[in-house]
Amino acid sequence: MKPIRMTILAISIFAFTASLQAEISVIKVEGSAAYKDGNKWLPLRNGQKLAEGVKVSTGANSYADIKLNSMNHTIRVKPFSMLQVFSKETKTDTNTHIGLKRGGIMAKVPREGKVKTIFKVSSPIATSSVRGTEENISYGPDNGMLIEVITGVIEGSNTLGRNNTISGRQKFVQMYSKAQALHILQDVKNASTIQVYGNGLTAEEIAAMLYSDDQLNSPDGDLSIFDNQVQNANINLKIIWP
Amino acid sequence: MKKISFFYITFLLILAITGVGFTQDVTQITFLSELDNKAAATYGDALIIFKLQSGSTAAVKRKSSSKGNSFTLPGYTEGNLLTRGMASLMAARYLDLGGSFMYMIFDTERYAYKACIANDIFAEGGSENDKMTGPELIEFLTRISDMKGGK
Repeated sequence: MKPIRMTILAISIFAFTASLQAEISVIKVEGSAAYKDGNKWLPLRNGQKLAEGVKVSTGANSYADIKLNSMNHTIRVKPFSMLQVFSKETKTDTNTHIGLKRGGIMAKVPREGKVKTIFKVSSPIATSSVRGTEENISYGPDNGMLIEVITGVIEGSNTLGRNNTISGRQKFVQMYSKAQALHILQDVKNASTIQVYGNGLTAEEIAAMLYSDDQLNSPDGDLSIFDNQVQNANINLKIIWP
Repeated sequence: MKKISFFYITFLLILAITGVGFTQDVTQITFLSELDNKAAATYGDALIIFKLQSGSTAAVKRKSSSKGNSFTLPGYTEGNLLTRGMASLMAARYLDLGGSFMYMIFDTERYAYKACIANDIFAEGGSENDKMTGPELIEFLTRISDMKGGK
């Protein structure tokens, strides 16, 4: 009796774990793209099935489109990138985790009604969690991790657990040396011809942003420099909600 | 005749089944993987990666000449350690970069570095004399690839 039970148990465990594995497959390859098999890099081919935990790398002027599960969650691996893919799925949920060592990806994670979706992209300094989203993600030691939302909502969080939820054209930028991500409107600030401040700041708060602590707090500091610095102005804004 | 045809068909079938393609060159993937682990990149590494970016697949095997490429810097040998300034000057010439009036007047590493910062290729901070690591060089080329309309 015991051997029969053991056999049934073994078959059940095998069937259960087999159903957890999502099918990772290559949709399209252009240029030079490879996957790691043992210690060797081998060329990727269109339609190829890849194992869980596979490492993929692309060269110059190259890309690879990879389908991660039956829900049509896909990524485009951009030039000079290297990453590792983990993907599991059942009928009720999908769980995808991508470790981005360098380079960039464009992820498409279409929303599927009743299926619980976990889709995370991690770099050594931050993690992006998405649902029903398209996003561009890149990572490098100089510029840090950049998450740019194309559609939907994502949450970016750094290794200290500090997070930002972003949408629309906002970006999450986590630099190596910073304890928290840059302001989500950093790009808008950089591109604007006038200074952009948050809503509802007092004149003192804006002055604090404009001038260093020395100028503000030193006993010898000349506070008259703040006179007439902040004035009222009429501006027209066109706000497009994402 | 039949034997020869059979041989060719079998050969082609084996190629198709094993998926051996002649179009893909994984040597550059191996090169990038090795560069990724380098604590200090050299001018030679930068030359190879710039040549790859400009479409030369023979670059990794060191079979292609650097002569005539806009990004070649006179006065350096392939073993010289790569600085941000050197990489910036190579990039500024390769991309025909604007963004710095001073670079347009003085074609030097210092102002090329400023032009690269102005164009978001390098992050702010640091100096043109800072040595670059392998991962930094790859990231640098990723930015250049984006500017060139990377996929």
